[in-house]
Amino acid sequence: MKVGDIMIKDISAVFEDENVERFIRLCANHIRTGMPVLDEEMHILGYISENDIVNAVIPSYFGMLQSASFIPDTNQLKKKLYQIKNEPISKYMAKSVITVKEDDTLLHASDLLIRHKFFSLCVVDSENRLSGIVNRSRILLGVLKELEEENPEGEP
Amino acid sequence: MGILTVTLNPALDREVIIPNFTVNELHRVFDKKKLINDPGGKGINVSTMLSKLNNTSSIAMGFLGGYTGRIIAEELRRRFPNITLNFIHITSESRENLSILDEVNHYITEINAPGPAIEEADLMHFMRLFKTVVSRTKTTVISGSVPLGIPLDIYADLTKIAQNNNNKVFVEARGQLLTNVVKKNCPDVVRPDMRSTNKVMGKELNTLNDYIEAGKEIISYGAELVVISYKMKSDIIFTRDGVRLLTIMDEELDESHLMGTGDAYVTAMIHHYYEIEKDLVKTAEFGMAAALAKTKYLKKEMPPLSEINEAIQHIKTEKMD
Repeated sequence: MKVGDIMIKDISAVFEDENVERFIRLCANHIRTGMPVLDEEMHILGYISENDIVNAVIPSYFGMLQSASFIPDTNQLKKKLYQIKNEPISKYMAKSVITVKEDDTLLHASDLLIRHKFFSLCVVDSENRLSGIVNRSRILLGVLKELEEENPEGEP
Repeated sequence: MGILTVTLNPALDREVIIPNFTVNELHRVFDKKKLINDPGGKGINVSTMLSKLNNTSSIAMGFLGGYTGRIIAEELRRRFPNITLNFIHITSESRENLSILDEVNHYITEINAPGPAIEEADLMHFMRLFKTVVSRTKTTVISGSVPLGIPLDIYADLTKIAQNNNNKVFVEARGQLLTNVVKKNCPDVVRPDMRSTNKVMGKELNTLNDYIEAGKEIISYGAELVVISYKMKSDIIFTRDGVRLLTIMDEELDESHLMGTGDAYVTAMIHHYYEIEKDLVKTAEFGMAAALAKTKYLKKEMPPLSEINEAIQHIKTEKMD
């Protein structure tokens, strides 16, 4: 089974000059944790995730504290989000994006997901244009399907 | 080959089949097949029909809203894996049409929820995405109504962008949307939607001559092919080399089976034009044959190629002008 067999054919995306607020609202409506950032020809310029925004609004030392209970109030968070909400997402997106092709194997895609600690990957066509996304549960579903097809009776 | 369908106002068509439906009663439905959730809206219908007809892939764009929009997306994803979705999800709810079919008493009870209102930021995002997507497609189908907040000349803007990217543009619409797109930026193939009106280009069509004038007017704005449904069993088609009357011979039509015939028509024309032959008259005949074959089914269904090829025998073409 290939990535093309299990990918989600959804090419929802944002453009790099859209602002942080727009991205947050889109993510909420799409129930997504992130979106590819495209140029006008559908090539992937970057990937912006809610993590990128959370990291931008919470001071980095908080990660070391392991808990947010030290935060005296949420004013700092509000202030920071207010400061950046009109900024373009290009400032916060990841610029080097790891992609897979439709004819890549599931093993290759899972390897990338594990190695880079990603939850989903962008799938591109032969001309490097966005054609969909693939996530961990889709890959696992694909493997389960392969198992059933190869060994309808029992263990592999 | 790259087909893009645009549905700015998608709907969730829900059907419940309840024999002896009675108000003020509890009806339990045990068979899940009697509870149907169908993604709808004319562009989406063309996408799903292309998928059924020849497993043809397409990209579907538009706005999906709220909970209803999510069901539409999920149903498309689950049942039509070769449709690529590129909808903008908005907060306001998508349309929902609920019909309760009682096959015993032949009653249909319908409840239609209103569509969403589109905000400017979402419209602007859509226009940019559209521009991006048409750079990789060859055909754009723009069909159906538009939700609140969308200007009535949007189809003209979309047609212009698609044609600038060398897309052939098929439009099925009615009212001001149709008049504006034809006058401002005429699509390549136009099929006025006559389901609830006999007005085309602002004029009421009554006599045969009214129909011919309306079709010729659309051709004069630059269309290659115009298909106007004239009476139940005939269509008038217009190309740059003349006017033809297509008539269904020796076949009876079931008037209660007309749902989805327009979408089957457009789907079959696209299939014919790209997969069989670019001859415009034959393309229209094939479309009409698909619409005729569709009337063998009650619901919106795409008839298989074999049934379309059979139906085409019943279509007679006469040159009028």
